[in-house]
Amino acid sequence: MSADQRRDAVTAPGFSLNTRKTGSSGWLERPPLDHIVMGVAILAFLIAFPFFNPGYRFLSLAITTGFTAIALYGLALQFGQAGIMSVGHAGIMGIGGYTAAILANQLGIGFWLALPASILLSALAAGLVGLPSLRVGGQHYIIITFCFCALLVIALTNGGDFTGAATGLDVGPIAGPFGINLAKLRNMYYLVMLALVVSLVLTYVIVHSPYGRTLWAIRENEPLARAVGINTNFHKIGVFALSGAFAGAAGILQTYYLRHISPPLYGAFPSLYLALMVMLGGARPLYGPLLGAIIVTFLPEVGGLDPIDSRIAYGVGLLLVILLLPAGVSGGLLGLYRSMIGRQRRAEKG
Amino acid sequence: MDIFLQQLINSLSVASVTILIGMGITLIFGLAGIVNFAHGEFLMVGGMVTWLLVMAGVNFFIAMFGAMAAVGVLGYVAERTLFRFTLNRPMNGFIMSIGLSVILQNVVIKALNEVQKSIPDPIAKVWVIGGVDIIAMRAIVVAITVVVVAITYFGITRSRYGVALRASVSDQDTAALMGIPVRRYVTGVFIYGSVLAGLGGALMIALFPITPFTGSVVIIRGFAVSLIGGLGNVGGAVVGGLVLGLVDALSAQYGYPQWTDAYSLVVMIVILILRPQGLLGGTLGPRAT
Amino acid sequence: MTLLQVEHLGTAYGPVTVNRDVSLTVGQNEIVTILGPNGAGKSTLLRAISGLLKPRSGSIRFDDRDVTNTPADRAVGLGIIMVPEGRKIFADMTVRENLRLGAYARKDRDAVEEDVKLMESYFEILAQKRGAKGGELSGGQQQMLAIARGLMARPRILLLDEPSLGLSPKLVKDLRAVIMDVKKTFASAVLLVEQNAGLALTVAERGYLLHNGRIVASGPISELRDDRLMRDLYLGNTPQGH
Repeated sequence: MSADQRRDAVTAPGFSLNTRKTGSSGWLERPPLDHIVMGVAILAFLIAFPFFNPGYRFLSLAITTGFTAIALYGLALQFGQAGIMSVGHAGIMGIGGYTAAILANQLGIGFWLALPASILLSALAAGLVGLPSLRVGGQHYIIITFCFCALLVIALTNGGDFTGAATGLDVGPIAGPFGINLAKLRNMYYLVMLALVVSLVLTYVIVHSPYGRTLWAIRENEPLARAVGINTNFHKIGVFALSGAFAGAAGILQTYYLRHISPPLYGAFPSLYLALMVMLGGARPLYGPLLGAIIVTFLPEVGGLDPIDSRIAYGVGLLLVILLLPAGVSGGLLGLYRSMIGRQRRAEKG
Repeated sequence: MDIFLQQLINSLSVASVTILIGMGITLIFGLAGIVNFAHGEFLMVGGMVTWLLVMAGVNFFIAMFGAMAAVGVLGYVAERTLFRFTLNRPMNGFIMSIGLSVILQNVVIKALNEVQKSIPDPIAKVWVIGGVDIIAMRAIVVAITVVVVAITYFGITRSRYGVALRASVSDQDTAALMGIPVRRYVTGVFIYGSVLAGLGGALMIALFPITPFTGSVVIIRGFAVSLIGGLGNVGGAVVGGLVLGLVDALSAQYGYPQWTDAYSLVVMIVILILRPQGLLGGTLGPRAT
Repeated sequence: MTLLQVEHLGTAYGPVTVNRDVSLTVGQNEIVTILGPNGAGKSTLLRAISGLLKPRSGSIRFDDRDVTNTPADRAVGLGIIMVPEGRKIFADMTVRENLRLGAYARKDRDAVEEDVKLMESYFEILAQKRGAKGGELSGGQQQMLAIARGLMARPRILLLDEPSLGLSPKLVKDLRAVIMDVKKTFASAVLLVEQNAGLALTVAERGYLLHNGRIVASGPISELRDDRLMRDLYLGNTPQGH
């Protein structure tokens, strides 16, 4: 027995592996009833949200939360399932965003055609950036990803007219299908929410699929996984690419939301904040990344904190989370929920 | 010849600060097994403390020791409240240090402001050595660094203390079975490395202005230096610092200046991939979890 | 005189209990063995005694001094030395450096150098390979190095965790001779934990049988050998000629 016997909740089975009955027929388990209920409730809330007249500001924040969460789901896949943390994620978002911006400016290609391009290129870039992780340890790898971001910013800043250099590039509004005006904020909100829901469902499917379990096995005990014939290298790069796809989608959405893109958006510090958000919210439970994005985006508004104070709050929050709630806020809430249910059940049993 | 010597001292003085921060990181990462992303902020805090003291009328060299003490205390507090809990899960420690760096940076911005700070040249003399004009402060920075490197080399690396640290980083439990008080040594190394960062900050502000963002600028060079030279290897930190200094100088002469930082980053990535233990050989850091 | 006294010791890793209510003693200069199948909790017990693991309950006394919660590095100063499972040689350091590390807690530096020479003369292989890196040695050589490293600390009691694991029969014979010498020449008590009863039954004076974390049998070696529980648990593992 190793000294690491005592596992913190980051490695404990999350949401998905609970022992309650699931409709486990074949390839994908049907999620337990209360998950479905929760999912539907959240969906309903998301749809109804704009009708409560939240105002321009809140709507903007919601959109920002939306695409940030999409990027976070990618990072959560990488870190939560495969155990590899990266602080270069914003850089990958940048690849997606810049692909779209460059396609728009150089070739006049709009959002819908650029979307697959962004996703593909980002996935590719992420896979490439992931290669060194096969050779070096986790901490060394994080430093490499940090450098990647820094390098990307330098390259973008010096890219001349092609990349718009330091001032960046502009893009026009998305050409909405069926004549929907996507310059209107509310419609943009729905688009982003749609993407978010897709990301959520995709994440769920991935985590609960045999592929997800393979990733889990690699994270838990890589030598063992290799011994039973799993091609760990292939799968690790695969999860990087997947994570990159999410980030690319987030990047292009961000670009078309801001209608502008510039290098500092994707530097090392935005990457750190992404890592911070995923740790804060929790990488393993399903709603963790969303929660992380919500907390970090809305906290300054709700708490009335200025940007400096809110960053200090994030930092402190991160420290507390690592020390006390290794599964992030969502993990902590989950634990709370479970212990309450447990108490109720025991009371019912009499 | 004159210009060359002047430029040499100038480059060396810049490299000195890089070496000091790199040495701190190489010791802490390589021998105590802690990856502290906030190390750059430690340097920045050292510089800011120096600034505050000098502005209040304290002599620079006393302020320098004040900065070293202040950052030493900061390091002690950070280790006891944060890093000591993550010795078995270094990844968590790294992530916490990200949080710490964000906190320190923004606290300083709040307490002071974002405007850059500088102090007048503490010595403001020009020495004439062999008929060549040399700015005294720069030469002193180099001299101080040389002394500190020597102390660190003989005090840590070559002593049985250093052997014990290398044993602890490779296998904490077995080191304890040898009678090595691992936790105490880890704290000691962490404090020492932090003091070095404080010194680096003081020397830096003696040479050029700093801002609250200086930390994030130097941290990556600090990691680069220690990884290029080899973790835990003091000589390696020196070599790493000189290599980066050389890259900078070459790029200024022959390359595109705006790509300068990029070159150092690329050098580091290449070495990390091809020879993870660094040029001079070092530990591979804590077993990453 | 009782050197080590363990009473009602309980150990656990997080929510998993490993040892329950373990009581044993080791006398000055005695060779005592703890036997048991895989997973019985033998290593955990040694980790608790050596100070690497804090026990959940019970007490450990050494030289009539309470050491229940004494951490490993301080236990070394008292003379409690463990040679861990799997040797755990520092692979990147030379044989000599490994030896010197064993004596890290000692203050008498000159005597330490004498002891290094002593170990090298007693274990010839260490003299031959003195400059080699620990990782370059074979399993058997590493085991000898690990024991020598332990002896460098001048132990009062030497805890050996499955030293015969992976060794050939010839090496096991050498090991036996070394363990006898630890008692005779180096005047230390020995607490030997083994899964394979072969070595232990030929070298120990008294023994305990551990099963599922508890002591289920104990006594002088001659009795233990014939004990029914022993035979049940070790069917097929009886020592062949010693």
